[in-house]
Amino acid sequence: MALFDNGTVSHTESARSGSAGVTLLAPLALLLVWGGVTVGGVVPPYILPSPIQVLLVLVGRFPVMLPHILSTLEATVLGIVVALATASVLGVIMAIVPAVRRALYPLIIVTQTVPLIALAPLFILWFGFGLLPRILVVGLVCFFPILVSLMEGLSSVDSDQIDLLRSMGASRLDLFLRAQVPASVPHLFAGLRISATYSVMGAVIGEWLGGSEGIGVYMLRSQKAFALDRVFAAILVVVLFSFLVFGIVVGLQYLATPWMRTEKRIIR
Amino acid sequence: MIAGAVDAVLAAHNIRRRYGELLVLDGISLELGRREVVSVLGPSGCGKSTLLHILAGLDRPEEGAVYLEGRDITGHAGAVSYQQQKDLLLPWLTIVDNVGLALELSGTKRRRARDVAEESLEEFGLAGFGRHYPHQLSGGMRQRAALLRTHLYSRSVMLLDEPFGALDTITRGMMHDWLLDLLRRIETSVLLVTHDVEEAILLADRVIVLSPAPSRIVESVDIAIPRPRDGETVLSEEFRRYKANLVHALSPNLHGGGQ
Repeated sequence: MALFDNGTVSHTESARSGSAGVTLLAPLALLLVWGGVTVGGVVPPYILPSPIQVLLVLVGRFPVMLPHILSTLEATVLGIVVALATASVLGVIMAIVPAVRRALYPLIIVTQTVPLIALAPLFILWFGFGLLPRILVVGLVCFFPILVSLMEGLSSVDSDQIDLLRSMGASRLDLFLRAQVPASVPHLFAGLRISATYSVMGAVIGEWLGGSEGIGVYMLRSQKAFALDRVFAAILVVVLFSFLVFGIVVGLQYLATPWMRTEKRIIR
Repeated sequence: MIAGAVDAVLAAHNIRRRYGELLVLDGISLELGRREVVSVLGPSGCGKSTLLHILAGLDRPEEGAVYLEGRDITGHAGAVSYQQQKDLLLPWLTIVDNVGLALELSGTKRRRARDVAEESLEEFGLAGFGRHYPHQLSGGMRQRAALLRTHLYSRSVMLLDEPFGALDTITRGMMHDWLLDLLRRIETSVLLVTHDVEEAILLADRVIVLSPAPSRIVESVDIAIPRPRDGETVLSEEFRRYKANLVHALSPNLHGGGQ
């Protein structure tokens, strides 16, 4: 499965061969430069810790970080699930009933324009310091790309295709279940991939603005203690985390869209 | 012509249709006999596709009626099968499921639909490709799969709207041979819309020529070239006479339609 082939399928074999090498090249180069300037003493460790030091801190502090990691994971996953559920219900209704779409679309855009920094403290005020406000922040961040892509997908069916199915006696429900829904799946996953990359960041922001637990809280504490190596270790965790969530989405897409798996044309 | 004549499977009677100010179809009547293949030729924009839309029940005429086996089906989709230039196979279904979809929509259980589709694959030159997805097949194969779906949906009448229009010349020639062969074996009536004069003659028992909009039938030619026909048929003197005749019937229309 090609994580960085943009998730959709390219039908060319050549695009795949050697792609792993290219994918690894840029991060490796970055790592080398980072390692070079820090180990070589160009930049002192209190400004920028070396990659080795960050790794050592990550391993050494892992038992302390683990509860934070799990807490963030929980908020992230639940947030995406909430976003997916809400966006699916709303997306379907908005795609079916144009009046609802016209009524709700502006409001939904408003939810995306209100700064999170202003909203998150309100969530805490309303829902306390527990898990719920953090789930809501993640959900708010993830909800929009899913909704937009789902609505796009539900209306992406070719009108000739609709005519053909109607000529075969398809009912409105048939059209929805057999054409609109399957056609929307790849679109839905395009939105989910965007949401996946936002989700961990959303959780961390939620924790920053008033959490008691989570990798964001750990990061903030480390920052206040000027423990830059721990901040970097936390950043590394967030990055790995985002990759994990993204990878899970790509994996689910692979399972959900068997017709889009890369396969060459058999016959030309 | 009398609508609903005894041996007509499909009959259209005095179809008129306008889009806003523009009168597209100006009283079209035609009949399609049992196992008859009729080609409809006409300049582009003459309303050929509109006519098929109406015959398929996807659109309603302002005047006139459509009869299937004497029964009024005007404006009722689902009575006859209809195929366009695009294969319109659903990309997320395998060939077997795409083909079987026609049956499923008319109430057949999925497993049964699959079995029927599977059995028919060979006849349509698709043996062994049932589990493939459309994008894995060539244009000609996809179009054959679409034809099989059309055929399974309605065994009595197929309306084909430029079904080979998107294929390259060589593939189209192969599809013509294949369709001529198939039509000898299966019991179906075909109304074929095309803008390719040779295709119209080669496949049909009768060719109808439409004028530019507002469309009327300006010519109806019985094609007496004996079957079986094949790719060689177009080279015969007889074929060339029909072609000259039809090109002539179309040419004043082409000039007239050029404004």
